[in-house]
Amino acid sequence: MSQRSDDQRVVITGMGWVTPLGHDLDTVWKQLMASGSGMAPITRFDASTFPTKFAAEVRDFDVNQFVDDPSVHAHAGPNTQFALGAARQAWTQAGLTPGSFDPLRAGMYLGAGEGVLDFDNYVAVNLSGWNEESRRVDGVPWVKKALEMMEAVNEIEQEPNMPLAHLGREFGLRGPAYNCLTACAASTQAIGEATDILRRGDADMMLSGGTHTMIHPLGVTGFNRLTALSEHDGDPTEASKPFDRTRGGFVMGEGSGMVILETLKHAKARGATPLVEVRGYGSSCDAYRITDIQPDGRGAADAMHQALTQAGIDPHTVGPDGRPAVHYISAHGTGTKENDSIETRAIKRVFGDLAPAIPMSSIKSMMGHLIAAAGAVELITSAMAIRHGMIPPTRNLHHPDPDLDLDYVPNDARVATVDVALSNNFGFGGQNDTLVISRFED
Amino acid sequence: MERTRPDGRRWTFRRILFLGLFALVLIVGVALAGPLWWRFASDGDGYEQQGFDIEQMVASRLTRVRESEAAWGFVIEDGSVNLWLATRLVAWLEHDGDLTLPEGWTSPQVRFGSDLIQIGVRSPFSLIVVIDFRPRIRDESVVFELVGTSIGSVPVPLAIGASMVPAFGPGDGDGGEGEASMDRLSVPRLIKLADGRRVWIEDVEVGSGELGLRFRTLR
Repeated sequence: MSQRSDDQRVVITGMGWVTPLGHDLDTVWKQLMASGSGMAPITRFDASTFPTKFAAEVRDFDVNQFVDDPSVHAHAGPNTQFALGAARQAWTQAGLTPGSFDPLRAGMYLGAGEGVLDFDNYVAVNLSGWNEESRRVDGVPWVKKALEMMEAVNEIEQEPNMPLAHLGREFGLRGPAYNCLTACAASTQAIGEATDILRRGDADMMLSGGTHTMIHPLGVTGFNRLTALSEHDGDPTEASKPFDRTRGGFVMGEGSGMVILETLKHAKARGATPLVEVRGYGSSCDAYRITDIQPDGRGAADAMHQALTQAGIDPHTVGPDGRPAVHYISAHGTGTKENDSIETRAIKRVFGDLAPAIPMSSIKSMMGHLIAAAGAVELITSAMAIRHGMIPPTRNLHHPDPDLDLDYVPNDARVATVDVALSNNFGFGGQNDTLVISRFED
Repeated sequence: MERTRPDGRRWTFRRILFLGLFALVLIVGVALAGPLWWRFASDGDGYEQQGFDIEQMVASRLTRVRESEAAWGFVIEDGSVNLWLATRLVAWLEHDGDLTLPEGWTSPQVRFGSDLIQIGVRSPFSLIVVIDFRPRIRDESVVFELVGTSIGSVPVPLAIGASMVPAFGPGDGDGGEGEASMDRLSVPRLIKLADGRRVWIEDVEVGSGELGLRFRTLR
């Protein structure tokens, strides 16, 4: 149990997600427990000539089912729509209603990615201005076409803070409003920072999480060029293979995860039910190459150490039941050679001899990599593991890598009592963020 | 018409001069070209990934959590070490501020012979300087005795070869993280892992084309 006072303790009282495996907590959780897969050929655009032709897309999602007035969000991009869907679920689970909170003490901290470029119009405008002889864009015809074709509202909806704007309006949140876009660690960082805002007394409750889609020609091309995406030639559901010897990169996903964070004092005052407690948060920079992870995992280990220290957990001790102090690790586990090896090394660096006794898994094997939203969705998974006593598996782990020797929970979900869980997310640029949550005990 | 011919003594002198110059050119050429085994190749299909895989293999064995303190080890070929040196050494030096290659010295490559480790490095004068070591376990250290030096494939006296390499010099005598003197390099047998565990170098064995290492992970 935490030694902090109720206004320093931060609890999650609502959770929601929109993912390639479904649009509500139960459906997605059942898919995770069944080792399901959300991967299929890309339908958003013709990817038939791309090195990667598949992704984990959110399907059959209708934002209108999640908002009070659809006309308010008529121009919202897909990332904003996903955020609205996830936030509505969290809002409902937390039992929030107008008048049950002070709007000026209710804020938002998102790890929301940029919106989707109006690709077709943008390319058409560029082509109209392209001068083949000079190999440059001629500004005169370009701007003429741009003013004809490019919609102001579409341009502004691409800004990464637009999900904030829509969520604030939908739920009447007028307190602190922040967005960070720290690559694939963004929403882990957002939830950590939102927790700190609550602890320092700047708000009573925060809507936090992430939302993103990069399933568009520029996004897929960019990650192909970085050689980070799987180019698996076969069944897309077998493409994401974290920790497997034959792993070849990640599969692009999309979606959103949102949580309602409150001080325990605020949650108690309004009669809310805490689901889990946020115990620790750590953030670090590799201070290394922007596309490579520091080889010995020092940066990732630093973030884990910070989060565990804040949580008051010594990684080298075991509990009265003989188990390590952390009972589940939600791995970043992208399925790239580099990430999985170095994350394994970083976890050993933190937990030493106890590392093999901690089950860890990567749900990216099932729903792909949700980029900026990955951290929030994976934290919610960790919270579900605590509440349901089940650990999700790492799908497609059929060829153990002799160099990766921890417990990756291969292929089948596992029954386990999880009281403390740690969730890792790392991003390009050497960004490392870790959250530690625990079963709520008053 | 009478043709002039060099007399015998002048002809012999010219031949000696020619042979001397030829030998000099040959020696310089051999020295510039480097030894036959020194081939630095960092670009090629999959080289970067292969270098990374080698790194993972070594790092994961060193950090593996082991049930007991029983000895364990692995054998690595000089080709693998060279691939790693060509593709990953710079990155490793970059992230570890304590280690750098001396200025102007680049492209180290190794060759494992019978009880011998040869390291060839491109010097600031574009010559490949080769240092021959014989590894020995001695008390708390692994000592690499300097047993030969050459420039390219041309042997040079030890003192000359060693003096060219900045890594050699009077030892600081503190017996700490490692030591170098004019005739040897030494490194501690105890490797400290980041999580506090320690790995003890049990044995180092060099054979033709491969290096065998044995360790104990101490609890």
